[in-house]
Amino acid sequence: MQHALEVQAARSESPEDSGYAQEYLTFRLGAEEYAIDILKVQEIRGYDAVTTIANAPEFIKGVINLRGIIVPVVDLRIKFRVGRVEYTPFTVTIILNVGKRVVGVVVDSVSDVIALASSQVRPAPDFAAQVDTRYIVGLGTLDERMLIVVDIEKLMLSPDMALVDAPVH
Amino acid sequence: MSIDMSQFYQVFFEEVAEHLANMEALLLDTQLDQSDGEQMNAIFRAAHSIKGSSGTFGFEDMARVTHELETLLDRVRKGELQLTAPMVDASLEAGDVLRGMLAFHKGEGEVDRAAEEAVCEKLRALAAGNVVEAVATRFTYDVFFETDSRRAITSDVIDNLLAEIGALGEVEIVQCPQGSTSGVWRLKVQTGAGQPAIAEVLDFVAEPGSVRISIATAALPGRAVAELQLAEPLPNDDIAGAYGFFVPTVEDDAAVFGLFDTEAQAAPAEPVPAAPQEAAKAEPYGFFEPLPDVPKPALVAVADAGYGFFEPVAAPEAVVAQATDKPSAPAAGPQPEARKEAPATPAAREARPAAKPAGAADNSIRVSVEKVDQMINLVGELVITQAMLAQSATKLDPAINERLMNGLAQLERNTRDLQESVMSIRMLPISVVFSRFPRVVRDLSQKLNKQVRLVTIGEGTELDKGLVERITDPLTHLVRNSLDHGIESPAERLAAGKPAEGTITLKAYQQSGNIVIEVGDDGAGLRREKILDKARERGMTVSDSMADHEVWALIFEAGFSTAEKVTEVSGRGVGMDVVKKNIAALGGRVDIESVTGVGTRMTVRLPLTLAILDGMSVAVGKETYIIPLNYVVESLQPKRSMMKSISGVERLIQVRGEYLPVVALHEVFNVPGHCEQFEQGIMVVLEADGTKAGLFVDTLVGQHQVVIKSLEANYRRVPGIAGATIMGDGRVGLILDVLGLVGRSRRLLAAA
Repeated sequence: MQHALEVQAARSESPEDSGYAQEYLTFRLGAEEYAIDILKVQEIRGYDAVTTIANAPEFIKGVINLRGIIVPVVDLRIKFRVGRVEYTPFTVTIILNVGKRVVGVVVDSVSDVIALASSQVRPAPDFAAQVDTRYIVGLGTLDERMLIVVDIEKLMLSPDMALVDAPVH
Repeated sequence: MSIDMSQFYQVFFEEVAEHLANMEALLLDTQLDQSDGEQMNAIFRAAHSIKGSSGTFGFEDMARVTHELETLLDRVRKGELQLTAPMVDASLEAGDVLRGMLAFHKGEGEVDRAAEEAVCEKLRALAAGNVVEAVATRFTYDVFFETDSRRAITSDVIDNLLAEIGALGEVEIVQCPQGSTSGVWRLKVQTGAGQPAIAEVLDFVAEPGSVRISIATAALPGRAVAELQLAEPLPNDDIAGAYGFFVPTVEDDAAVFGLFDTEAQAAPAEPVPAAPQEAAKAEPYGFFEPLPDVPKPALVAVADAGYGFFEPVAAPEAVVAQATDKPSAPAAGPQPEARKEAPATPAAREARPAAKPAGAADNSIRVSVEKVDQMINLVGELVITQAMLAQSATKLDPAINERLMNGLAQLERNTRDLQESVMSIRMLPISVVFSRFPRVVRDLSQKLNKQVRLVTIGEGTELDKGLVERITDPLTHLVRNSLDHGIESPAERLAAGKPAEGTITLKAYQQSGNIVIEVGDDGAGLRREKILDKARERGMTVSDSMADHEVWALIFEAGFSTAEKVTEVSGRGVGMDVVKKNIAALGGRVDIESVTGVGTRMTVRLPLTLAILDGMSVAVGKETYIIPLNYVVESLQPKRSMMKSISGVERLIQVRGEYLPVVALHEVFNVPGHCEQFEQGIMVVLEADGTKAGLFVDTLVGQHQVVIKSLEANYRRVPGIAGATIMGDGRVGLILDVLGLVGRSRRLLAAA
């Protein structure tokens, strides 16, 4: 229930209802470029020393030691079946702070930090992106680039990601 | 503007819990025959503090009970009452009621209002004791009061009042206001409840200061009237009221002394002429802060006389010395400021204020456990970083990098010291746990009519706060068990040539990374035959050739009790199995030693902290897992002949005559193992919850202490995994959930 509240809180800050420009971190997954709220990002680090977890879904790579905290790592490339899945010294992990949890996600590459005003974000048409439209806030336009603005918190805490225990009924 | 008090509740709860514990310890320590003034004062101060803060935070029910308790204690510490066993019992009971209320306010449990009422009644009766019980059981009181002018007094109110007083005894209306219910009333009450009880009933109806209760002269021939004057019967100011209760207006000094004389506490004849003088000196001694203007001059005389009366045995020098300290000013009626003053000047004899406890409180601070845990995490991180640096430095040439090497060596020492001291913050002395046992033993031995002495050794031994909280219940069970089943009745003991008084020994010490707690008794010891008979009765497979320790271990089986009759305390056979389970859950174990006729000793071994665990690391394929060492019985390389199959699947291993189910870790976790054949790998025999199983792994890697981290904080529960830890190389290691794996083996076996 907590999650639901937090997701709502995140939504109310989303560019749809605020006239101010908000900052986003953009990253690439395959051919698409995604934008996520910069405030959810804790840090960006390389990919190494992951301990695999038994019987976990394929896209959950395992857990890492982030300064004494055990943090699960998700490879979004596997989850969304895009990009080339290989782990090199250039592979990046974005450490996210979502709903009081710390989660790492592996993406193809991190591009930059941009500012988008709410006027630059248009509601998303029903299209087929790798990410389910439920988690897409809208489409941002910056010069010639089209950015898919994702509610990363909602996505990471969704049952699809298998990162949180299913709520007990 | 009102302040939200709820933000301070947590502090209040902790503080009151501390005061309650303190009070209980002191009460248990009191010697009836030689009551120590300082000790009584300390008990009083604890009660007083509880009352003060409960009042402040608006927990009126707690304030009410402590008020009664304080009234009693106040009389005792002033020497007006002799401390008796029922008083100690009632005070302990009051402590229990308060604890219940505290739990209720914290949102746990329910308050037993009946118990509250009963204990208040008991305390009141005891406090009134020296008038009621010492002289005669019943008195006739002349009660005089004016109704409260600020309240509408309806006939209902008066009816209620009369009914309430009627509950105390017989009531006769001598005088009542003409035509209406408000005005001057005069009653004759015959009761054994004492003046404070009557005064309290009147509190809500009577005009402040108007209540006069006197013992009717007819009931006490030869004794004159002693009156009780209620100074400030406002409910908010009940402390002042408490003192007010005991300030009699002296109409006839001799008579008052005569009255209290019966208790042989107040000095009798001699102070009579001295009383006025004493009063003059005692007054600036300052029970109450002297105030420049006197709102109620009539009360001054009352107060003066009161002190003169209550401190007749005070050493004159002390009084004079005090008098010179403070400029003489007439003491006013009790004021709220008196709160501060009252506990500090408990009696004329007790001239030194309580500096010691205050000083001790200043030496510690309250810090939330989260902050400490965060610090422990950070230090753990530092240790790993330091280890990494040290490892990198081994590749350098020590001759060229001498200064760097020296620096690293220094860093290592400092880090280790830092880690130790940070860990010690979470450590509490075991006296925190032991301190509750004097009470347990006292209550139980009374209930069971046994004489038991409790000896505690090694109270200074420290263990983790988390352990302290969770070991208390299992230990209480063990102590109760020793008391009920171990120690014999005094008659049996004497017959066996032992002293009538049994001894229970609680001993704590550290032994190589473990905390050992022993619960020993010098009772009858366990009876081997009886346990074996009982086991057979319950259909367990036992043999007469079993070793002693195996026989003793049977008492930890669920539903096992050899007690001939079920007592209130124990004997239902629930308990020992729970004790064992709880201790195992803490990563510890229990052993029993017993010699028939000499005694029994239960030894509990616990890890030093909950955060650190002794682990054995095992490898399966490329993965490494950690098994908590306390579950490991042995490790062996299985032979082909040891493996037995059920329905064609090899699911059992025969170890030392036992058939154990086998769990293959590579199958459970779906990781490719190096060893496909059992005889290539290692079988680790695990025991959890009384069930054994073999865990098949590739190899054993090593043994180390690991810091337990939560996997669920950022991830979710993983079947078969109990937690995680950071290994020496900075990677995450997963700790196996042995209970879960052994349970799984049982299910697998059932499915096969």
